[in-house]
Amino acid sequence: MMGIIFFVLTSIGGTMEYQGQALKLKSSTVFTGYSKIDMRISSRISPGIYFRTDIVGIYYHGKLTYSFNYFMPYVDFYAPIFTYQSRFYLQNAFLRVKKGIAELQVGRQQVGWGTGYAFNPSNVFQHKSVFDPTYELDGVDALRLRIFPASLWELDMLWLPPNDTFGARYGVRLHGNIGGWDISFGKVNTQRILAIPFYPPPPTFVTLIDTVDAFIGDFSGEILGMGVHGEFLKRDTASVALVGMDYTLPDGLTRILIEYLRNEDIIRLTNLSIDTIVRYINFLSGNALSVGENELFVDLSRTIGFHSVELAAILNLDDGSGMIMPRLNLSLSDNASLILSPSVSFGKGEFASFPDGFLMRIRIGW
Amino acid sequence: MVGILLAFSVALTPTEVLQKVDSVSTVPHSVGILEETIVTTSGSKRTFRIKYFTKDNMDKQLMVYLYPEPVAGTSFLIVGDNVWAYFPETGRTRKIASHARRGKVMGSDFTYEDLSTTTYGKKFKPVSMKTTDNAYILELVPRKGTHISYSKIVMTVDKSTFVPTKIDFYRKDDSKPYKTLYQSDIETVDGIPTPKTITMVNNLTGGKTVMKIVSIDYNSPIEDRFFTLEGMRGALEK
Repeated sequence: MMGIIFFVLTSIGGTMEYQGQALKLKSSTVFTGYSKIDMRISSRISPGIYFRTDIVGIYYHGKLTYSFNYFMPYVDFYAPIFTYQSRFYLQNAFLRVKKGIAELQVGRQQVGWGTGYAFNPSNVFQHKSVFDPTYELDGVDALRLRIFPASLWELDMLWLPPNDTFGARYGVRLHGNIGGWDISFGKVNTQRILAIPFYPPPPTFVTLIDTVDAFIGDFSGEILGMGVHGEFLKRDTASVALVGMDYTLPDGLTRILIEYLRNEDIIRLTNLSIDTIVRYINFLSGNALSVGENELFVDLSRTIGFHSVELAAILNLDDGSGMIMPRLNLSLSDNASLILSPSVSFGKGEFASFPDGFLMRIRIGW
Repeated sequence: MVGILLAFSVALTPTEVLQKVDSVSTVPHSVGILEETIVTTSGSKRTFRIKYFTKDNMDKQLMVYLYPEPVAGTSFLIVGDNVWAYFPETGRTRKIASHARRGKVMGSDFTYEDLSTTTYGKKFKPVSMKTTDNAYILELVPRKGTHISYSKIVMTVDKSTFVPTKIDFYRKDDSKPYKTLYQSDIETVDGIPTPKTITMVNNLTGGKTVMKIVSIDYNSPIEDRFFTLEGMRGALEK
């Protein structure tokens, strides 16, 4: 009997994924691949209680260790390395309890704040990759209380307990709809690890904990039928702002999205070589949104049957460098998709240092 | 008696026919499951299973994808002319601008605009009507100030049920209908004439999308919380 009840209330599903990526480094072409399984178990235990967990196992092969030097214009210093590590982990694992207008959610979960596609400056708790902005993110461990005072309004309070690296962090966000516009305001207090240079030269780098105490906000709506959206983060030392627009042509198949990021929240040093290195290290380690202060993201996509073709580009407006990332999304069946995506950099600045490459990803639902 | 009834029906004005169409097409509330099959010109097929909730005469709609697994939990909330999408993998909710409502919903031949147009009288006005033995054929054009992709629709309405059995959608400068909607397998469920099969044919490409109602319930009350941001997030759990 218990088995029957479990079967009725519990949903088990997930995806299998294989990705292979070739990168043309300065001296050779290398390959890194992974096999990944995501097993999702979710259950509505009672009308007000729900849990979901995503158990992810990922196994890497090929080249596993990379130096940051591979992605940077300067190599005359000791750069950190990073290693892809095969592992099993919980991408999401939370319990949600709802009572009246309040909802408590504890455990590893998605934050989901912000309206930006390529950049989300207001989501200081998770870091998406501008090179793959729709890929799912690992959840954050948090205690969360949501209050729903009215339809389409919510007060979202997030508390991340202290761990070995960081103290307690929090975020509060009021989200609502006014006159057809989705608008949010809030406050966050979080920490991140920043790399800074340690003198005298040759430079080595040390890390420090940077406390980010900031006001955040975002909006999305439309002007003359065109979608507009934006986000901001305002802290005492710097501001970050994103504005974007998207437009679907009358054929309903072709869409263009443009986002401009103004990022003042980066370390500035008078020694330009070291300044660049610091910016790279913090960007590559996921602790800075960008290397440049002014960046533009463009995404042009067209649906063809069950498939789509996409042309995305990221451009550093300060140095004129950029990267073009065409993408072919093929739907192979109800449950299987294939992505093919080369990436080509140009210019002489930020993105010129990123290796050209080719990515193939196949995903099967089960 | 039959003659009197016939005379009465013939005497209906185009506006009255449209009012009756809207009256039978909109129900106070409903919950059900749809199976959607998209067929391309080459014959390739994709199948989705969708749970949906409607309230306030379909002014509020929530659709949540149950199958296939890669899109399970993705949901769309429609409140009046406003449309939101929710993506469970990133936990993000996104409002969809009006121009983007011309876009296909998950690759189907239905647009967000098609799904949010539940009462034609709000957005369209009749300009002419023909009558056959079994049907009224209404020609409708958008009301002034209405933002909609179609410049004209021609609706064939079954005289006995007032269910539109065929709707031709024209865009500006189209001499032939761009898309055609067919509603068939009409059954009476809880006293409400219900088309169990809804087919949208794209006459340009030859592709079509068939929605079959797997289950429908007009009696169970639907709480307001379904049609909120929290409702979208938790839609798969309900």
